[in-house]
Amino acid sequence: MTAPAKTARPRLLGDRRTRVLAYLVLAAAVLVGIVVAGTLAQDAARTPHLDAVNKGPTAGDWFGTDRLGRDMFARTLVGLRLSLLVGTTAALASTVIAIVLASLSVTIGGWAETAVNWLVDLFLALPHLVLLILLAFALGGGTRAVIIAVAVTHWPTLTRVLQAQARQVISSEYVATSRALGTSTFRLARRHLVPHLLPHFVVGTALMFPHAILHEAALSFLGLGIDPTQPAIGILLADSMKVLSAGMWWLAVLPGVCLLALVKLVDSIGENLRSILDPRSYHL
Amino acid sequence: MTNLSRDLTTTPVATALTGTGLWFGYRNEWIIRDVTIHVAPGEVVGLWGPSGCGKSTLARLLTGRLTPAKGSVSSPPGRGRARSAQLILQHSELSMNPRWKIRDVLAEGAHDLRPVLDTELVHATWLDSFPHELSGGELQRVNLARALLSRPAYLVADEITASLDAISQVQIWRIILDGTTRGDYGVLAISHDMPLLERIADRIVAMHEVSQTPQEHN
Repeated sequence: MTAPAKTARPRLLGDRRTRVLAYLVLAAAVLVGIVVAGTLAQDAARTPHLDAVNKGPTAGDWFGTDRLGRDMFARTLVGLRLSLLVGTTAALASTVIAIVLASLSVTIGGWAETAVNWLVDLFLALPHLVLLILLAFALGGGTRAVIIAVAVTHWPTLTRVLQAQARQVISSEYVATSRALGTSTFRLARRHLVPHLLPHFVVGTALMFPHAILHEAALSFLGLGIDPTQPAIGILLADSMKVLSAGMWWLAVLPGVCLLALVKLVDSIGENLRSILDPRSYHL
Repeated sequence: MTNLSRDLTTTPVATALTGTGLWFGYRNEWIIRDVTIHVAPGEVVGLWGPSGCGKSTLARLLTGRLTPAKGSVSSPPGRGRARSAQLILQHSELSMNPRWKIRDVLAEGAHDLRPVLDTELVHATWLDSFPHELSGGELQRVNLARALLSRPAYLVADEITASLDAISQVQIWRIILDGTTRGDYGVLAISHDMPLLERIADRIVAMHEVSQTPQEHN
């Protein structure tokens, strides 16, 4: 029997991969752009211009100005930068909690698994936002409190996913075979388990990110999060509520749309990463 | 060379693959009841039984993948860390990490792949393929090659050719029986296909004969 030619891969797959990678690079560039612009706009966002208050959007001043004449475009950029900062830190902290708990429960099993499952159930049973508000309140508000509150409330779902994936690998026939052929536990973990979990880890972090951003905005909007003098998106939105009835729509709509666009961008990064790192579950 | 298995049946018990008084069950139901089975070095034993009678469970007990509730399994010491009795399953694709290339799959048996590359077992062109790119017969040959690379004293072959075409079936069994003729290893061939077992096995054991307790039907 001769071996059929196995070298020719479908060209479409290569193209899709390239397209996705190009998109990811572009999206990452936009994120970096927001961070850089947000840093540069710090002063402009805080400087009042009392001669130009409550101006609507114009060609020269895209997002208009607020009641103190501060440039809303600059304030939005600073707000988005802060959202990204909080989102990244909280999502990363959350995934670290998830991966630690998932690997403990799978490798130790028994009591560790029971304890982790109990914790996951506990956190999933409590309403998300309520817990978030209570935590942020208990921690005394501020950026740090928001990061901790978001990190502490977002790990359960990812823990479940990682647990299930790890268990699937550990109980698989190929791991049993590998073990019978003399592969050590450490090598099994390194060669079979970690490469399998890595995509789920990366994608989990990327998909948790938008949640973290939205919850940061929600907490700040409710006045339980970031210091109200800071131009965070949630605070811009809360401020604009007071003047929305006076017809100053741009104060709410434009920063709000920007936040949605940022969330959508990060979410699409996550989904695109998933489509190349974990194609099977992506197409389910 | 004559069939070495006949001369080797008198070697000490420690080199044989033996399960003595094995019991195993899931929850309250015994699947394996007081089973005793013995494979001598170089011998090909056929294990026949209807589906669901516990053949595969017995295979797992003998290869150390399951621990018996009562009774004991003895097999010769393995080479290095590998077990001396290697299990080969019907669904070869499940026995390989789907993300690994064949080269890496084979390397789990031994780092030096030359012993199998020189034979009709594995084509060098497969090495850079993924398991899903090979056919069932090719994959089962890779599976067998990997087990042989670890130089086992026994192969426990659980329905390994049940889902393959006749040509692959013949190829695979010819390769396995070449090894037993040389006295490299003994084989426990598990199948529900009596004609196949009659062709390959030195002796055949039926599962209801193996079990020393009368089976209860419910």
